[in-house]
Amino acid sequence: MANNEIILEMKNITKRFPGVLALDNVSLKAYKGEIHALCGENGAGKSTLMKILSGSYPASSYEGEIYVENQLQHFQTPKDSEEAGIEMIYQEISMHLDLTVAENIFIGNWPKKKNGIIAWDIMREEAKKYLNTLGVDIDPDSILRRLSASQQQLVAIARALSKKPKILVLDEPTSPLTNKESEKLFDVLKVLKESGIACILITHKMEEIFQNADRVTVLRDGKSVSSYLLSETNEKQIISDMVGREFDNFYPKEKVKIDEVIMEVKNLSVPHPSVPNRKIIDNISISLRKGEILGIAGLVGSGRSEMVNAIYGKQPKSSGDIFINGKKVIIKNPKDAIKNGMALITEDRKKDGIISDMSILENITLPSLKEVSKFGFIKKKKEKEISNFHFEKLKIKAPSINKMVGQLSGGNQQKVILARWMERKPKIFIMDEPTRGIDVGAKYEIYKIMMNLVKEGSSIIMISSELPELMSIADRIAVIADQQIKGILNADEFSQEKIMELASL
Amino acid sequence: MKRLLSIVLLLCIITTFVGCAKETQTTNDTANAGNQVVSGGETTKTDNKESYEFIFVCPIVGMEYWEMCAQGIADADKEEGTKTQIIGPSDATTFVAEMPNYMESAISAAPDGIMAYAGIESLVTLIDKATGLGIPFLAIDSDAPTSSRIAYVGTDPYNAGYKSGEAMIQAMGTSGKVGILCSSISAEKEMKEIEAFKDAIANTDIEVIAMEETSADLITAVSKMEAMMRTYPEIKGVLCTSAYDIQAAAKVKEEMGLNDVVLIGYDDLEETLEYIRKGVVQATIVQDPYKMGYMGVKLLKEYKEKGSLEQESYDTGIILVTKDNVDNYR
Amino acid sequence: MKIIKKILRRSEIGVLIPLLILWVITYMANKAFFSSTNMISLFRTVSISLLGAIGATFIFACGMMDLSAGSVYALSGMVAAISMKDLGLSVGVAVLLSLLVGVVIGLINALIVNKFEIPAFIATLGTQYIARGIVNVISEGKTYTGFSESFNAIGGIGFLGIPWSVYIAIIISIIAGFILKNTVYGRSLLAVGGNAETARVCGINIKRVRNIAFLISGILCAMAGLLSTARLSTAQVSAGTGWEMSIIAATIIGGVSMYGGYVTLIGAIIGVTLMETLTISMTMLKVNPYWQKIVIGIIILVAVGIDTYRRKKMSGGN
Repeated sequence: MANNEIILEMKNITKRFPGVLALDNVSLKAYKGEIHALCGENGAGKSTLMKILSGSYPASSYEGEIYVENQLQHFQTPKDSEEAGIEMIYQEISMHLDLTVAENIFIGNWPKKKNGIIAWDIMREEAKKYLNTLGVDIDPDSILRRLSASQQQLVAIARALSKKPKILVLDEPTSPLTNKESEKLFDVLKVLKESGIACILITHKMEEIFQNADRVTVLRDGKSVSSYLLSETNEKQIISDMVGREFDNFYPKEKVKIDEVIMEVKNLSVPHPSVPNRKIIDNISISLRKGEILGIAGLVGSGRSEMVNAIYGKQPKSSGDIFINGKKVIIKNPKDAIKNGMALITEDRKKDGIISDMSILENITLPSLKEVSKFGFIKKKKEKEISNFHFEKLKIKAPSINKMVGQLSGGNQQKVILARWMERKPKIFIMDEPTRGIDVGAKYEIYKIMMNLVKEGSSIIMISSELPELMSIADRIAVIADQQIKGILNADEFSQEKIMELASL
Repeated sequence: MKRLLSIVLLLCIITTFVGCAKETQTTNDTANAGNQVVSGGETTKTDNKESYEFIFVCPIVGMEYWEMCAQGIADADKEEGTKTQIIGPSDATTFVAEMPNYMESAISAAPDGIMAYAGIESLVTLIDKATGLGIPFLAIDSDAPTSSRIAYVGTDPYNAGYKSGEAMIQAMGTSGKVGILCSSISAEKEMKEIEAFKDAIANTDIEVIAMEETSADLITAVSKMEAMMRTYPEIKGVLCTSAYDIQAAAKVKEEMGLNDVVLIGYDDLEETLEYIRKGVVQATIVQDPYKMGYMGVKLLKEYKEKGSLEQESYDTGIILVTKDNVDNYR
Repeated sequence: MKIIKKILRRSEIGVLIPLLILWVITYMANKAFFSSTNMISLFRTVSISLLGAIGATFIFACGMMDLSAGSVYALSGMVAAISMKDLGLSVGVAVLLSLLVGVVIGLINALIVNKFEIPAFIATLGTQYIARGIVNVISEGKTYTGFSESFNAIGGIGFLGIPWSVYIAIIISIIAGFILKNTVYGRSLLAVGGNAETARVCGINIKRVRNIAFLISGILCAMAGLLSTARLSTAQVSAGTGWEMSIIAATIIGGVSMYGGYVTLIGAIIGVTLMETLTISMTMLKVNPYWQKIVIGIIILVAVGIDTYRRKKMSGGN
């Protein structure tokens, strides 16, 4: 651990928006050369605090002080914050996909020759230097679009490094990364630690925090609740601080009677979405039993989503038969699937899960329009009743069911999607990464909802990249790799190593 | 799916070609009628001097006005033993863009002479190209005076405009306020006509107090006419320089009950003639597209035989149609 | 007071204000602007374009664009004219045939977009040319006039001195508004425009939704063409040239989102009224014809500017 020099102190920060007190006397102390985790539920104030730190909100719009290396700062614009040595790396990587790696690193910061022209060769060399510091082997002339998400992120870090920062802020950096890539990232951060850079890590993932951070600060409802050295605390404590109540059981798994087979998929093959004449799933067969939660594990790109999408009729399959309750069913599109009692929560909410400009009510009733209408006319009262019912049952946090879904937090959006399908009381519920990008408290609520569903007789197929989650919730886990199911593990056989082993076959 | 798409595409292309050929075919028939004697039984052209082949590039094939021109061409072909092919776009809205393409085709066909509507900027270079290749070009209906055309056959817009001024004086008297409706304030021909109108009334107490543009759209013309009459109730006469504008003006005059307002228009669409009979429109300036086609063929032949023409511009004249001659002016 | 506050918060205010200002200014320049005869003429023209704008609204709602509007307008009028004058058919049959034109072109658009998966913009550009071509071919370039009184009456004045087309536009607007807000179809339409993939996952038949939208647009444009032909008692070959651009502009100025998902029928009505008023105002304000296009362009930018500013302010307090 580096020496105990404070590099950043945010003191008594209070920020108001019309009608909302976003931050209430929040303080944060970060030390040189440490990885400092910042956690809290959505809405706790993390992003607001970071926006203040980055200068997006000018000093005049909030109360409180910011000290960098004990010097009082007045950030009026992001540039001021940059000049003080603070660099931000956001979740939505805002890079220029059609420029090269080197160009992205030096954008706005071009090394110039005496006559003012950009020194391309120096740029390339310097880029290579930064990439090497991070231990990555990327050609500085490659176009950013061609790189993987994790490589792009490393370029973003390289860009931050080129500005010689004192403090690096990373907002949920491992969201788009695989486990292996995340490990790599933290190796890089640990290297940066050595040079005295402080990294503020905004994250939900307890594992990440406990494996990599030195210190953790918890925010809740706009207040700074606690700050610990990692060695002095544990998961339970942090989650309790985040949620504001005693947190006993992380995964509310209950024993549920698992019955006969409800759905059988035989000889399913799915064509590869981007490579012509290739299959991404080749001749897979699997069965689902009533009341069970079937987990689907596999590396990114192994075809998990494609498999369930094909079963649901969202994506075409090149072959395969589906049997529900012993009878063969033809599913050519989502409408057929819905008719047969299926529901699908997709992987990417924004892309095909919600309609941002429509209200909670409209999103909830979308697949059930027939049921809330007569002769094609919507019965507004019934719609409202149904929506309010789920709104309350799932504890969706919003002023009313008329709020536009696009303005809700990730967790609440996911609840809306759940509500939508629960209204249909599906027998077979397919969930593709249902808790991605959702904070701990909301995750717990979703697990509870899932347990209630299976208790009432539904079955769930759940895809997840978070192995701890999968192992705690699922009854069986099927591991997909190389177009096939490499193995199906029963609950007593669950282990991360076993799953990873099968996934890498 | 891809295969189906390519088949459909292929069908569309074939249809387009057939469509193009058909245009030229139908108008060719009238021209060919008189030439059977010449080409009967012979597979090759024997005497070039006897059977000149011309091409007329028409701006809007199928339009009434140009049909009359085509008739004049057909009659002249019969008399002179020439053969004139007619090609051109059939859509009034896009002819400006398509004329150059048809000109190019005409030049490629290497005829003995080309006659065409020349009122489009982009044609000037093509006209010079034709001349450079030894193909004489004759401008019809609208001129391109800066080009190397051998002559212009058509209405002299200045004469037409002047006559319209005289007609206004005749119908309205020597004093009064006048409004003008035109289809486009950037159309040279119309602007010239209006300029001439103003010259004709220069020595009177007639004053032009308003001018509105209608884009040759009836509904717009009606709106503009109504608005103009409501804004300037003192207007005693209205000049309309395009066929649709005079119709719109007449309609509005009837609906608003403006019985004392004098209307002078252009062209002889059937409705316009009806309005003249009814006394709603006082006079209209009629061009002679038949004569343009007729003279055009004859002049081209003359040029081929003599090597030059006597005049640079041939005025096909205008007819002032009023109640007196509306039924027998042709 | 509360009602007024509620009205002020509505997004359509952004376009309504420029319209009212324009009206007041024009009235001050020429009292005849608010005369009953002028208002009737204005709303007669508005009602015809409004039918097209309502069609455009449905098309925009599901994220598409229909550029064939003007050609359908012309073709329907020409078909009615030819039916009566060349084929000697009765007014009733002529009207049916002209509306059928809208149905047919609408279906063709739907087919090209759904079956061949060609983007709506390109597909309707194609049908724009084809339909216009058909107008040329069947009319041989002739303008048709002189229809029977009963036909012309369709475009004329009806009850209480108000033109029939205004009544028709009002009824269609009410029906359209109802469909958009209160029917399963309307909801599905907006869902497809909001996020087509999500709608699909929820079991909505996207193709069917789009087909019906094209059908509606086609019929409304045909209706507009029919009414206009009756009003002028003339079927012009070049009728409606560029009409689709002006109704699209009016609809967007009115606040309907080009990308789908957000529609405002009231906005469309205000947008069309603004565009039609501009034509008249330019004359009444005695704006030099050479300057008119510039002035209209500026007013349009101002109207959209006010609207955009308001929207930003409303969602900016995020």
